[in-house]
Amino acid sequence: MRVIHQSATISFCPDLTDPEATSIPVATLLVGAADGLRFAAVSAFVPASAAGLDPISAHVLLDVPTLLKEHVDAVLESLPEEAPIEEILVKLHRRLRNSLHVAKISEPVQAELPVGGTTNAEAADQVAGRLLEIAVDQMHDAAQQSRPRASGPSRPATSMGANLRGGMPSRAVWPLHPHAPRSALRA
Amino acid sequence: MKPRRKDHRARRAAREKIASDLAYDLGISVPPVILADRANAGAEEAYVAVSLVMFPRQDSWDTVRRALERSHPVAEYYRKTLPTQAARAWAFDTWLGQADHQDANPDNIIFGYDPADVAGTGRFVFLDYAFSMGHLGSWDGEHVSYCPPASIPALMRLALDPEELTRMVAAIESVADGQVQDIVNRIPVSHLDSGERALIADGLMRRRDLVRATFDSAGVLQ
Repeated sequence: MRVIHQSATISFCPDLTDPEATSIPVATLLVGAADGLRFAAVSAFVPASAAGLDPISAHVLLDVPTLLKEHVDAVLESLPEEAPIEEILVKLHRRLRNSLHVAKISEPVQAELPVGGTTNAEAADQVAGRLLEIAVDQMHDAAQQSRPRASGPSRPATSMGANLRGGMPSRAVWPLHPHAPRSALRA
Repeated sequence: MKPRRKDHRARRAAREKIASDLAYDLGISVPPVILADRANAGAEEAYVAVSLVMFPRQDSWDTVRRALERSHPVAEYYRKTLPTQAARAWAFDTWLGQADHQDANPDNIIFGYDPADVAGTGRFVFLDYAFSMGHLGSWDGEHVSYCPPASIPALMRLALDPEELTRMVAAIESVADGQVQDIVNRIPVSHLDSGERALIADGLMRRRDLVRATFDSAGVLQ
């Protein structure tokens, strides 16, 4: 089955007032479409412990998968059904622009996914599962690329970055149905 | 920095600066703004406003609203300053004809804080006055006298402190004509032509005396 997918990297800036601060990737949101099916998948890298994080930041980061799903659902309600998947990510970019923000939107990718199911439901499950795997891989890559390198003095935010990188993954995938009742997360 | 796109007649940068300076005088939480000329703007707007990022961490109203609705423990940080700040901003926004602080524009209200001292530093910040004060003719002629209560997120409306609202209405009424004119007239002609300058100054002075009646009609003053 031919699938087109595109992803956004969601990052957290530890200090918006510091021009030298480096944002830390905390989630990948991937949106994919295939044969009339559309899905969103999120892979978040959530801190295992709130130790070292202030309570609000810990709450925001632990809640990223649910937060992203609510944003995507809200974006869908504002878009026509035929809107390209890129529009979802562009609108998300406009909605997330504070400490938690969309740092990057990748180019769309077209790929052939092997689907072996005998029913539409099985095929949909396989597409959803594969998209989630891609999101997890992309999150892993983003986390690897953000590993700290040797550098000069930095502000205390660095310790927060270490906490994030020591965290646990969280993931979810859900079907996108514009103008329909909001769907539930499926891990 | 804003606006990036050509501004035409809206004079958004000037409005951001006037709102920021008035807010400073009244103790409303709006970021400081400076005006700038971009010599290399190209096809973009050359006369812009630059506002200060005030806090290391900032979350949008959306994040705040979710925590309040779910009574999450972090909501206590928000509740601490919400009644006072919501009351002040509601009065101020009504005076300026600000319509962009609502649930549908969650990025126009943020909660900022220093992570080293959330309870001591956390407060709401009200952004984006670019389309207030009669932009695109909404204060022309007698339209300026139409002064309904400003839009405000529902949870802010429920939480606000009526006594603080009453105090803020009185504070707005005490702003002198000269204070308004000084703030408006400090905007350079490049950012605000004389006609628009007069319209904004006159509008602020006329509406200053309408805010109390607006809230009286709504039955929210104490």
